[in-house]
Amino acid sequence: MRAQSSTELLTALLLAVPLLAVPWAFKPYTANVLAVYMIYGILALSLSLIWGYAGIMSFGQTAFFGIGAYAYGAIGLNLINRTHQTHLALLGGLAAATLLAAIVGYFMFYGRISDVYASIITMALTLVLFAFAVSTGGDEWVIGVARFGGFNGMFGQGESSQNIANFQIPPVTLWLPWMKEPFEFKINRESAAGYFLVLAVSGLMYLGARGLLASRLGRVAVGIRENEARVASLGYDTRFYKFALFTIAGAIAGLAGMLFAAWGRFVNPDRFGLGFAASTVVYVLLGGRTTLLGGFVGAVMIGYLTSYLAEIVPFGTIPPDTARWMAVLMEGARRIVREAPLLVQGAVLVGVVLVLEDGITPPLFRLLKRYARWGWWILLPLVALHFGQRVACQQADLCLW
Amino acid sequence: MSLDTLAIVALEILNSITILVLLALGLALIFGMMRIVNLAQGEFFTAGAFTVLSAVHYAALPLWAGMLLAPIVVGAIGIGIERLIIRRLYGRPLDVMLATWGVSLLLIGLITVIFGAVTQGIPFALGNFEVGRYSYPEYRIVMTTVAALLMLGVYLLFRYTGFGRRARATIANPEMAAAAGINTERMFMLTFGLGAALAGAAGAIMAPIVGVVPTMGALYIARAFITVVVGGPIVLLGTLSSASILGFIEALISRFSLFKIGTAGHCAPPPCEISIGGSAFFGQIALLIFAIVLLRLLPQGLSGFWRERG
Repeated sequence: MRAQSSTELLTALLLAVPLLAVPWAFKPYTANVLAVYMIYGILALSLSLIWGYAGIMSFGQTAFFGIGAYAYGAIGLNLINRTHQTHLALLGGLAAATLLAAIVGYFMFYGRISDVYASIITMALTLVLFAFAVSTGGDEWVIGVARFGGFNGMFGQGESSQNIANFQIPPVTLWLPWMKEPFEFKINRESAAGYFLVLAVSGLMYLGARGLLASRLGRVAVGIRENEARVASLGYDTRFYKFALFTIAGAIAGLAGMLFAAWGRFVNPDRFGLGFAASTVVYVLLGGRTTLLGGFVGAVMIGYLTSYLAEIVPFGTIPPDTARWMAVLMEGARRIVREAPLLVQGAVLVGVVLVLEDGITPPLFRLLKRYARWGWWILLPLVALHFGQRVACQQADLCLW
Repeated sequence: MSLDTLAIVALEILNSITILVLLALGLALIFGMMRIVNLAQGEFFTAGAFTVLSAVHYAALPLWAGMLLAPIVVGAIGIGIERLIIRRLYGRPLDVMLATWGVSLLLIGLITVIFGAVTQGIPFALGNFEVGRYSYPEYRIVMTTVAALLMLGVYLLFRYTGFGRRARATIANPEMAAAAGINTERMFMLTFGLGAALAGAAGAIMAPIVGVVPTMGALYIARAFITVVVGGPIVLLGTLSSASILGFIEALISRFSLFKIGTAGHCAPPPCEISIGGSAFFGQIALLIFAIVLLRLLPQGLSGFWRERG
């Protein structure tokens, strides 16, 4: 038992030291990118909560993410210039996502439809919401000053009647009674408050999910995953436990969506799209569905891989005098790299299902457990040293990269 | 409502039903017979459309030849995927969904790499006919005929041929069928290939009336799944009954606006109005809501409900 908690402390330190140091150790760009990966990680956490622990596969967790983002955007745009804070927007986004999850969950679980049907219904839900969000391009789709904007995404239109004075979704802004002026959580050269907000929410959600799983609700959920009939015959109303967990997961996804809208100050229909739904599943599958950290690991890995692939463009120009077969090969390589995000996701889905069923976090964790001593004496000092050096050189503006 | 309006509405409903049948038939076959959900079905549809496109544009074949070629090509792709991937995952329904989703993404990526991410059209020479004051495309009647023929073909195949008997025996009881000397693995492979071929045929038939683009599968897959889920476990009966009900609802709600909501947007002339109903999008919303509510009442879908009662 003691060795167990020691390994967990080690893991926490190995993660916390670099993550807390990021705003000082790197340029704001890194904190910005890492923040959005962590937001995707929170979404993935909500999926692994219901998939890994209750055996409910939701292909449409993005529906709640998107609803949260749109609701936050609509309320935030309308109120930010009047109240100078986004408290109500945060509440509204959370309420919208929770409500949608509760309604869909009620029909799915109290109808006792099978697991496969539940996956299809959630997927259809997010696809229909995508179709809805896309079809709101017209002038009539307006809530107060917030335009839905169809494919272009949500933005506010100025009060000056002409649509020139568009403005963006506000960042998370607090103005509590004892504060002199509103505080905006942004990520830029001056402030990394937005990054720390996302980091704190990630940590809280992780700890909260752990607590939830240790509670009665979580233990019954695991029982349902293992053998639903047996749990039901012990007198538990399995419908209620599935419904409750699904609703909570929907709320967490909605929270991630609000953070996303506040982070990018923007939301468009892609958040409901099949591509985003697929990447959420990929994060969880790659990271490991039976660990709550898995989603974060998967999100960061896939995020860095795809953004790396998006930056390399092989054969910028194909010279006209190249042989024909050579030109075809070069063009082919170029197109493959352009489609790389999709191909990588597809390959991960197929590959993990066929080969690496648990994802990569559990084996990594086992490795760390076995060599915990090395971790304490070598890995942790190395990480601390490296990041200390990064912080020092970044602050002195001497870093080479 | 005058007589010709009534006729055109009836034709629209028939067309909606046709499209749902075409989209759902292959999916329902694979789901009903093999109990697996194939999320790559939309890309089989796309592959069928692209087979027609390449046959017409690059091989200069006539349109009908391309349409005959499509199910063969897509069936072969389906059999290849079954051999490579799905064969290893029988008995793990969720993993099959994930793997076929991966296949779907890979196929979209590959088709985009080969054909580029542009929308292409396939020209065809059929006109309109007159229904009172309205004109209606003849091609839609062709589509309905083909859909009916496909359903009849599937029925005859599974009811009266040796292959059909062996396949049904395999589905009903794989161990017993294997003990009786049926090569069950081959039956699964061929059933999956047939489901893929049906999707390919659907893609080929619909190719001339839609834009052919690598991501087109995603536009149709949600409706196909809703149809199959509402239809339940019996392949033909379920597909036909749910396509009829859903097609009816979709066509009516797509055509008529139910009510209007006024809003305070910046549009000319104010006040703005949002009409609920009266567009293809609201037809799809109605489908989803109807399906969710229906599943609350009949968890086994329409045909499962009938089977329990009869």
